[in-house]
Amino acid sequence: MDELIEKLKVEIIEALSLEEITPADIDANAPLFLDGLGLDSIDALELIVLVEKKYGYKIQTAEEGKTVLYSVKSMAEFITNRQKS
Amino acid sequence: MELYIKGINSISPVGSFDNIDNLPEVKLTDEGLKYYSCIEPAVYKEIINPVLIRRMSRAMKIGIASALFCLKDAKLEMPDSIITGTGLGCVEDSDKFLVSLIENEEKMLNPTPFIQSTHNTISSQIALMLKCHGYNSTYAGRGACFETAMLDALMLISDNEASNVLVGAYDELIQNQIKILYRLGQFRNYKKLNNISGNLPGEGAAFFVLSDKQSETDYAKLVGMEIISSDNYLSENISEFLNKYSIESKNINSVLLGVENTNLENSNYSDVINLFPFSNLLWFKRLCGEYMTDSAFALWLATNILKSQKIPENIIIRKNNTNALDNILIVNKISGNQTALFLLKK
Repeated sequence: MDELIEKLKVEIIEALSLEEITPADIDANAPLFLDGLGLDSIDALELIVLVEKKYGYKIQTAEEGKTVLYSVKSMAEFITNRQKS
Repeated sequence: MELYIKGINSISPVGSFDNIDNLPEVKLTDEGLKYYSCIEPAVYKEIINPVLIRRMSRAMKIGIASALFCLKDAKLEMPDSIITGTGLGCVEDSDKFLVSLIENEEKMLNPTPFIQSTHNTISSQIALMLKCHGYNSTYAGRGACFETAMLDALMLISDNEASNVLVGAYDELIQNQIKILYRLGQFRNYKKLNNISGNLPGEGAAFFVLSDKQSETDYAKLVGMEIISSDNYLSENISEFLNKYSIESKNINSVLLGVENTNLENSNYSDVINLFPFSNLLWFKRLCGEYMTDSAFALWLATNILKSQKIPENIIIRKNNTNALDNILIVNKISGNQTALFLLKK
């Protein structure tokens, strides 16, 4: 899981062009939107595409999106759970 | 109707962002094919929210920065209207979006390039940043789009629907576009020995605040403008245009031509040159290259010349007139058979 979290941090920085942020700056448990990295709705769409393109798992509903995209850790948990099932 | 130019700004290959005095010779970028590329300012983060900058393409950065600095130059916080012109819009985002469409077989497309690929991205982004709810329009008519944006501003002001209008244009060059346009023969084939016909590609952004009210700090007065839609009888059409504003060709101090190389005798401008034997002849594409909205750069340059009363040495083709710089005529061949004319007075 830790390895996946670190990988996701790098992919998020690249996908969202977060030029001045390093993986170490991202708290895996912190919310990605508003308080945490301050991402917005366009970023949410980019993250949905990232999860599907890189890992092959589709976020099905807006409600699921809210849970999965809450933090880097919740994204990693979603991917890990799908890989197990 | 006459319009007064209150504020100006340009981001161009000449590094014109800060100052017009002593414009340097422009170095061409050569990455297999030669072109003029913008020298971008290092101040984006001072004026644009970093959250927005990270998504912006070069066209967006140069367009928005130029617009915001133009407003600052005019000491105007809120224009009544925002009008832009662009030949190909945010072509870098369009390119990214289309490449991704092909590579991903039309699935899982990233939203950002698609959202930002529309031609009106920049005028709407400026409006959002300023919270300007006034008239907002973008013209994407290839070669005549900046001229059309200017005509729209002129009509808005003459109909008393606006008093201060932010008008500008932007076009960026990307590698795919350079390759395709060279292949189509749109630009001078400089690799062919002795080939001196045509111009090399360029890019840039330029913005202006136009107003119906005169003041002492104005850069210049836009007396008239016109798009001539035929190559035939060009010099006759120019004479008619000048007659409309009661000025004879012999009284035009300087003519700013849309050329980038020295082959004037064989260019489309030979008739025009003969019409102005007593005027200074200047060229502007040597500073910015050729692109669909390069008339905006010409207007920026002419406005600066009138304000500073200095002509940069490296744009002089022929110096015939040592009188005070009180007027300039811009003559620029745009797409197809069209020619744009702008008459400016001090």
